[in-house]
Amino acid sequence: MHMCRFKALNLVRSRNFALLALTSLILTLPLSPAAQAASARWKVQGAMDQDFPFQGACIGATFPAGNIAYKGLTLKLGNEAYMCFDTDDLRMVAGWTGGYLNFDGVAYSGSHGNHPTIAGNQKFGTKSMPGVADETGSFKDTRLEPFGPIPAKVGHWNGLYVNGDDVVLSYTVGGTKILEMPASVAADGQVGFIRNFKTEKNKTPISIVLCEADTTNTEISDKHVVLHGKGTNITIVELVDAPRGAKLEVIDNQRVILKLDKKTKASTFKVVIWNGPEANRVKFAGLLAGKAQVADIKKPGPARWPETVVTKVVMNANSTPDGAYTLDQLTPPTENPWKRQVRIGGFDFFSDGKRAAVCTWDGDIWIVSGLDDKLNMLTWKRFASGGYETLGLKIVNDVIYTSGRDQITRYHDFNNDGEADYYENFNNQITSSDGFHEFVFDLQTDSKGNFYTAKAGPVRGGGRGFGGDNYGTISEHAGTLLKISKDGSKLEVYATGFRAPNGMGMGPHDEITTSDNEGTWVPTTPINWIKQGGFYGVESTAHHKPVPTFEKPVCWLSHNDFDNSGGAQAWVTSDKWGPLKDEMLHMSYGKCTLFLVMKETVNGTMQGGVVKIPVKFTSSSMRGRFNAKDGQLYIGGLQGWQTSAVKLAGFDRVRYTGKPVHTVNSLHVTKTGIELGFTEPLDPASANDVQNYSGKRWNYHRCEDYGSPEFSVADPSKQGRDALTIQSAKLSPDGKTVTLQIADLKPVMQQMISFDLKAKDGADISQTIQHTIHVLP
Amino acid sequence: MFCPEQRHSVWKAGWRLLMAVASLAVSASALAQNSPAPAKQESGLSVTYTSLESAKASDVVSIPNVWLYVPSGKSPTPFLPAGKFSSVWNGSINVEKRANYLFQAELNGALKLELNGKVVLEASTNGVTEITKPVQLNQGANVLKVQFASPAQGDAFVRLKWQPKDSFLQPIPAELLMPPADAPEAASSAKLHQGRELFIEFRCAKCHAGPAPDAAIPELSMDAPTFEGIGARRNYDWMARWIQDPKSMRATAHMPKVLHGPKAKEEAETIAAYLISLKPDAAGTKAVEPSSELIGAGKKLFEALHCAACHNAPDASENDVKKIFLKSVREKFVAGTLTAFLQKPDAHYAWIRMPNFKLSQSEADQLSAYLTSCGDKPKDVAASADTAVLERGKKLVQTSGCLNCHTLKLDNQFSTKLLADLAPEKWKQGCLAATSDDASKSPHFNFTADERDALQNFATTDRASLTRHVPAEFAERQTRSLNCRECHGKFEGFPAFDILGGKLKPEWSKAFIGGEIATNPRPWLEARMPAFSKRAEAIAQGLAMQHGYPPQTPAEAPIDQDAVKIGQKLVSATGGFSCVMCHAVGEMKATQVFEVAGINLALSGSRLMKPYVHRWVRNPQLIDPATKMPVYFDEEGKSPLRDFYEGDATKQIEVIWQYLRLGDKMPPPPTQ
Repeated sequence: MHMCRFKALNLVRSRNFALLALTSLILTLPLSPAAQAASARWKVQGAMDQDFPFQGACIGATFPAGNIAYKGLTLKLGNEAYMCFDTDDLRMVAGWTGGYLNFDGVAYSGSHGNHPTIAGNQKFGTKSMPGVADETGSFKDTRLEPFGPIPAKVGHWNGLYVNGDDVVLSYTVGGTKILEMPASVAADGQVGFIRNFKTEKNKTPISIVLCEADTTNTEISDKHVVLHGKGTNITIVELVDAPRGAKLEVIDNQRVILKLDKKTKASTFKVVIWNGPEANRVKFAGLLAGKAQVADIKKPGPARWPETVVTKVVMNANSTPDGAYTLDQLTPPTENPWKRQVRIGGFDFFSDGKRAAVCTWDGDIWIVSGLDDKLNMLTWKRFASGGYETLGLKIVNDVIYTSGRDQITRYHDFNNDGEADYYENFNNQITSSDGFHEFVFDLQTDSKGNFYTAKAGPVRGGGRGFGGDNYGTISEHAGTLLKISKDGSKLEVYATGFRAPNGMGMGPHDEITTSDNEGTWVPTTPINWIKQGGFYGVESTAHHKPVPTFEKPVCWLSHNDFDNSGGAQAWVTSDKWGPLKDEMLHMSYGKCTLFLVMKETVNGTMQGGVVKIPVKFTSSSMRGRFNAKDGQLYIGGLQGWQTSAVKLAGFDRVRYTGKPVHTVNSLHVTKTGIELGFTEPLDPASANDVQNYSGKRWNYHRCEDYGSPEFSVADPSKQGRDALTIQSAKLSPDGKTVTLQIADLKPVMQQMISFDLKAKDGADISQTIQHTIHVLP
Repeated sequence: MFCPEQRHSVWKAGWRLLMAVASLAVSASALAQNSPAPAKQESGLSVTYTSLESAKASDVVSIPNVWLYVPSGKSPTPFLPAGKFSSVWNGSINVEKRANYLFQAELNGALKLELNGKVVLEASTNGVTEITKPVQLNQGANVLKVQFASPAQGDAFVRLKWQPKDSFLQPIPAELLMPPADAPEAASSAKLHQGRELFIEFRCAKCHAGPAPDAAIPELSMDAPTFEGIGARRNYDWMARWIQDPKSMRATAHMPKVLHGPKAKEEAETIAAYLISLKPDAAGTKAVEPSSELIGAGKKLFEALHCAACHNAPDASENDVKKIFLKSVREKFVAGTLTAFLQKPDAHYAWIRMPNFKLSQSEADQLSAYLTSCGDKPKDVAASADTAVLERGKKLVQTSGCLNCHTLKLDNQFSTKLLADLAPEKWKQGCLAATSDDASKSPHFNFTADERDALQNFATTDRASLTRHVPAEFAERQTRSLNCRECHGKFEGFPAFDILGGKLKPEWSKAFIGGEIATNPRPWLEARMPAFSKRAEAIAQGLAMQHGYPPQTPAEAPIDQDAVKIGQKLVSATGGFSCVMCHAVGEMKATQVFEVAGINLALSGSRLMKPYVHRWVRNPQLIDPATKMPVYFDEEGKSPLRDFYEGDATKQIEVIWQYLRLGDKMPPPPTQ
């Protein structure tokens, strides 16, 4: 066998460590009484244990027709009763009993094309519309499309408080802050839905939609409304403990509204909604008992998850052939008392460098500690839950921010018990339709403190073409890179034309990059160098007419052998990571690999290529950051859609061992060929021998088709790769640069060069680079 | 019925199994423009077979790889007698850059492998050889020579493999193998193969009787459309013109011009009139005027089924002479009878090349509506019903040789020389005369000089090749003639043709080619595999043998039930490779199909050869670079799932195979 020395060693190592991994401890502490109490209220729902009082997701209701919560918060109220609140509309979308949710959709069942729906027996619902009126009492929707929040001056979503099993919604209507605690009540076999309100003295009149029905007859008083529908069921709404100036009204002969006159005094009151057979009407009175109450948001309840999960680190799980970089597996808390999946979507470090916050696609945040020099055992503490597909996380001044499909959330732990008490809406101006493919990827900040995140565009189930009946709408922010001001007040489109930009990069000088995923208008994986206002190729998400000029990427990567689905980028900001300081790294989600990006500016055009840093990740390689404390690279990833990853989650550290790094690390296109720079001097005999190099090149077609085959450069009508004629190889006197003369060098979307060389110190350097030539110097 | 162009190129190359999509896709002329790359030649190796039983018998052909399978007591090629033989492969391996490779062979016989003049592997065994030491190959061509001698006992076979750096033992990619630049013996051998194929395809033995049917190769029994009831199926005018000069109506016609001289036209009309009178009592289907919807649906179906692989559409403005032009369908078929033909093309002509697409009645109606909606209308010329004319036509049919190919319950009064009586010098006259002579009775085949030369060369052999059915050779000729590569390897979603012999179990392949498999493995394709029932078995066996595999799948040990349980886990999305995301397993649907569905895994056990499953799962992109199936195993053969067999790829794939072997009895993988 011609396996190199280092590899042979690694094989032995990894075997040993595989055994260790088998026996690694995953310790859990027994459930605390408090946690038991908390979880007793609900039954376990399906494979993914739903132990939390709310879940963010797009939810389809049964009625009225077209009733969808694009940014739904489904609330567990006890008594097998549930309500769903839409944070865009500030509308209580529906109330139901029995089953919780049908967990359909990509994040739950993997299905490409659906979203969760109400599983139980819906009792009331409201039409898709603003849930609060403007100061004139009008519910008119002034948005250009039904996505994104209603105008802030009408109503603004502030966030929610978790207190034990209670959730307190906080929003502002016409400048007046409202706290609402949804709840349920059961008596005499009947279940009522309760909306507990705590209001300030309001400057302007307030109108809130409560419910509606196809009515044939209504009985109305200030505090009590009965809606008679076409069927045998009736809906009763009653206002309890209401202050003077608060009353119920019916508009459009079907919709029940809560109205507060201007300057109604600050008060706590509730609305009880019940739906059932007329015969049970007499039982309604039994649902009115008890005072209205809203949990004290300043006194959070006891910790829900006091127990932690301890996982073992597998050091040196594998290394690069030269042994310069080694991978430590930071085992995620896959086995946990709450049966939560831990599909890592983003992470960042606290200022001490010993702790990181990790968010998951499943909506949780975990705080991992023990990232010290020894890196022996890791302790994972669950910090938050219920997020709407949170695939980005950033820590600013030790405060956690996540990006989800609904909003950027800022988390507050008031009582320092290691759990979030207030999930603050930092900015929810992003639009989200019901398409399954509207991922919001990554979260980064620039040197001025502005935030950036990237949003995917909807696609058809088969992946071919955009739009379609069940796959969502190209809303305002579909397929764009978004910038959010430092204070969260403003969101703007920074660049357009993306399809599935699963990750970003933020350079030390605010260089912004993204990748994308092969598909419509994306012939193969690009690494995009983002300019403000730039258009990056996907015409359906250009958001400009006519479609602007396409900004070419730094390079393309072939989906067959390099990267079929790009992840994020990271910049080597550390002095402790070998000779690659200031370089950019690119992650492949689909191929689970890490690349060094070699870029250059030629006549003002950025272009370059990549070479693999061949460590093997536990799962996909999707997000990466350097830990300022230890100076090493951390990579997190998940398995959620097409990838060669087989583990649901991975969290790894790529550590520089101090050994010499043997790699190509620079690439320059000349008029007649390319120059390859190396980190270590090469053996002249091998480097000067042209037989040790080979190359190919080809182009892609950028069009509406799903991805592109590879096309010959010589004959663009033929598929395939053309062999490259490398005429000579010449090593520089310092032994670190090889100049390859290439016949008929010309701009090409994809060029691939492979070489099997020896370094002066005898190490093998067998590598393949892929790059793009936009211009020759 | 294949084109002159095909004939030339194919004969030159000899027995070319893998004249590859690659060579079609990148034609030399296309590459010559502005390309630094050298013009590509056709890949493959030259192999010389020499009989060790009979002196002087040898044959040189081009085959794709160092692969061979010859059952004991059979011939490696039709031009060699059965029995012990040797074979020598010559050519080169072209590699992109200097690197080390390992080699290994599976064989029964004796083998010597030389690379760049150095012996790197020498073994005599029935089994697997050792793996060679690393062999350094240089950038570009490396001279390859393999010598093989068949074993004293058992079937002869060889399958050579190599292992590139950071990979595993696998067949050498065919496109890296190149035949030697000049091989003079190859040209003369190619001539013989060409002559034999012309002899077979033009049905020469129908008039010049050769070996007895039970001793002859199956293709000597190839028929022609029967005359029974033909009057109900063909229009008179078309038939008269066709009989008079078939090649003027279709350049690739095999039927010769039988009638010539001043009376030819009248005689053709007379014969046609007689044939038209041959109608079953209940003849005559009512033709319905098709709606434009029906025609439109037919056109769509025509495209979806890739009919254009073999046909020029009736409304096509260009006529590719290699294809059968459907412009004349309307004037050929009696109105209303095309539907029946489309549904069962071989009903009246068993060896017709047109396959059976198993069209539903409505599909056949749609296609028929489209095909008859345009093109030439039949001329309104009535056949003579005069009894005297019909009698004369009947006599002509009996005496002109028609009944040597076309069946009819009628006394055949035509006879000519037996093949055995046709000495080679006779092959320069009659049917093979250099110039067509209207005075001669011989039919006119319009053979080119090259074709005549090939037939004359074939004449000089002992013609025993007409008794030697070699499935690998049969499969090569027939799949070329049937245009398999016009779809396979050309259209997205079709499996590449040149891998099939090393992929599919011959039993399944036979059933699939024969149209006996009810379950469509790729239901998402608009196209469908049609049935070539007459040729299915020999093609299926021949393809496997071309790849060095036996014509029957070897028996395997009983299914390892403990392995099945682990295989089931590995296929699952809970702790396995999540195969179920894209592949259905029996009744269990794929959970997360996005870009492309995979084939139902319950079909794999009966479809796929075990070695192929190992290679495919290990690195599917080596077999199909465009596949969406991920590569899970690293270059060291390690799986990302280290909890099973310490991540050993081969062991993990083997237990998956044990699970797949259960076929439709596969229990669904666990979901929790």
